[in-house]
Amino acid sequence: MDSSWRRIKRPSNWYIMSWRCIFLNGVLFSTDPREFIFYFNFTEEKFGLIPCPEYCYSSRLNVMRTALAGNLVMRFKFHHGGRFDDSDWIHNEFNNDFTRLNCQTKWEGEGDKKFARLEAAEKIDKSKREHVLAKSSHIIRVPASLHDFKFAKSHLACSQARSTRLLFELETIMENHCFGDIIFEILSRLPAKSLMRFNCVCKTWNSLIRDDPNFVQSHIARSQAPPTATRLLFDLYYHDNKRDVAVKENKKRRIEGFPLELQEPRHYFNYEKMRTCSNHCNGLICLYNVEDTRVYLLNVTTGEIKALSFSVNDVKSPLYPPRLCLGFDLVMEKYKLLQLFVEYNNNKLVTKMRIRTLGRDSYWRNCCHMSSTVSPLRSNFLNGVLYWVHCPCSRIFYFDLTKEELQSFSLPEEYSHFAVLDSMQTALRGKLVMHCFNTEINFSNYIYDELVKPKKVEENNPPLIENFKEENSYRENFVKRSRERKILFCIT
Amino acid sequence: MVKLKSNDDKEFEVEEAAVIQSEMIKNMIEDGCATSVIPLPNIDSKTLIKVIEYLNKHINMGKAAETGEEDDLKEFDEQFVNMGWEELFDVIMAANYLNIHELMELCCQSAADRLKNKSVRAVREMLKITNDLTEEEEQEIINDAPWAFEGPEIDDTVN
Repeated sequence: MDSSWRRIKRPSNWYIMSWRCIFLNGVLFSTDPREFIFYFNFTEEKFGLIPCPEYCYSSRLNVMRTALAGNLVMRFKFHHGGRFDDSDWIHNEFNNDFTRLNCQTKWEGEGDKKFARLEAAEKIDKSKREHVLAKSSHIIRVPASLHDFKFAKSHLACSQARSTRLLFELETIMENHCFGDIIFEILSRLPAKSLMRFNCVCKTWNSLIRDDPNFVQSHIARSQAPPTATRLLFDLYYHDNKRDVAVKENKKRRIEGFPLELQEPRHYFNYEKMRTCSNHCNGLICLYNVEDTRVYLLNVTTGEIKALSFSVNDVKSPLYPPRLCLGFDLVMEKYKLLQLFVEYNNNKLVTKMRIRTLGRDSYWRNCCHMSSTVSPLRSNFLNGVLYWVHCPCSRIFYFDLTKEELQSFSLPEEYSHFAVLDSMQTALRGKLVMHCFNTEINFSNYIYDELVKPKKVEENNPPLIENFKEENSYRENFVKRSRERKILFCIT
Repeated sequence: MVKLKSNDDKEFEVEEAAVIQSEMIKNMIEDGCATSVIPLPNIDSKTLIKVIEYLNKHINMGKAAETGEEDDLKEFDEQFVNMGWEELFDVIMAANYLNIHELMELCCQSAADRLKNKSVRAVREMLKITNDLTEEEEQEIINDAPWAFEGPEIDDTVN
């Protein structure tokens, strides 16, 4: 409490603070590749230096022996007549000198069998990535996990009485910790399906994938970045009573220009009753159940489905699915749900909006309304902003989920007649992709940049970065797909 | 020229322009700490040679984009990550320690691509991970998400 960071003068000749430090009796010791031992006294808040006994080639802390002995134990490497010699030296605080340890005999002479066991434990094959946990006279080998590592750290810091203290071989844990970091880096680049499968590789991976909040965040961040070699793409179907979706054959196709495979829609919900009623956002989508008139949240990747705890259909006839827009507020890191509904106001149709944050203790808040008579149908979520194309007035409306403000900008002048927002390309590229038509029904594709920061849009239209010309096959595919209005693309 | 020393006491001379791609060494040079040999206690010479090879190739990344050598660089990268798991992990650890962002990205992405479609058994074998889950725990995970364990793309081979 009431504390703040204080600056401490560091010794000028100390340029690397090794991460391999040890705390002992109020002093933190660390070695440095320049063959010195540095220490930091927590009471005086001062750095100090211990010279090595004689010229030695390199030095490192022997963490376990230090913790066991209660005195600083160093492993020095000397160079004697063409060969190297490793030995452990114990530090004596009173005369600031080192004494060579002949460990085996000395420790056994004290009647302490622990040390021999620890010696043996040290030899455990490190490739097995296990670490050693020693408790008084027991040696327990436990699989390393980050949780254990945190536990080891906190336990080591808290325990004072040596007889009851658990001792952890810090060095191997450290190694595991490094390894864990790298596994973290690699796994966060994998698609959701692989992750769900790798849950059962081992306990460490399981707890990393399931329980580590940092991992989840990093995975979300990474899968939102535009170059997406690892994302999965799903196609969900809009409701269609005449069509029997269940008999749709299993097929896979590659999306033009992207190394992605389109996954099959999963029939984890009943298409007869459930209808999609929102855009997709980070792999989530809202479903409306016609029978119980409730709204459900579907995780497309896992097939998990959850009913929302509040009602959304109290405004209009229960037969029609509510028009919802699902978005993610990047600042608050919360999902928000926006509902659009049309009302008569002075004999005029007005599209009103209300919003609520998903989670506990939230309620519907009324917010801005569109003064137009026709409300746009489909919304698209991208980087914290919802977009709608509004054809009659040739404008694109966007709603910033953080500021909760509705704004708009106009279509490019020469193709301002009509526009389609390509939801799949938008999601794949991480930028707004529009197909704009002119009055002669010629069309051009536009990628908008810098819409991530809607501030820039307020002043004038966003600059056109790229008027991309793809091959004919792409165009044909696009035209086909834009007619096929039943497919909704969803990316996780 | 900057001198680097691996943990088995071999010294390597690298051009400064190449070596400053490592954030860690860049900081050291800026602080004026790199006048003599820089010891790298976490990296062995075999790995260091690999890293230096990468640094030298990527020295003129900006220029490559202009002169159309991008494909050449891509090809090099593809060749570069074509190594065994042990070696790849060593390079990742070194890249992590030296803080070379591009190399880290390249190697981790390559590792992820290799793991992507592998079966659980293949992953365990490739990375030498011992399965410490009980059969019931494993079955429970499979029952939770059976779809993740099915599909024509899942590859059970180890390579």
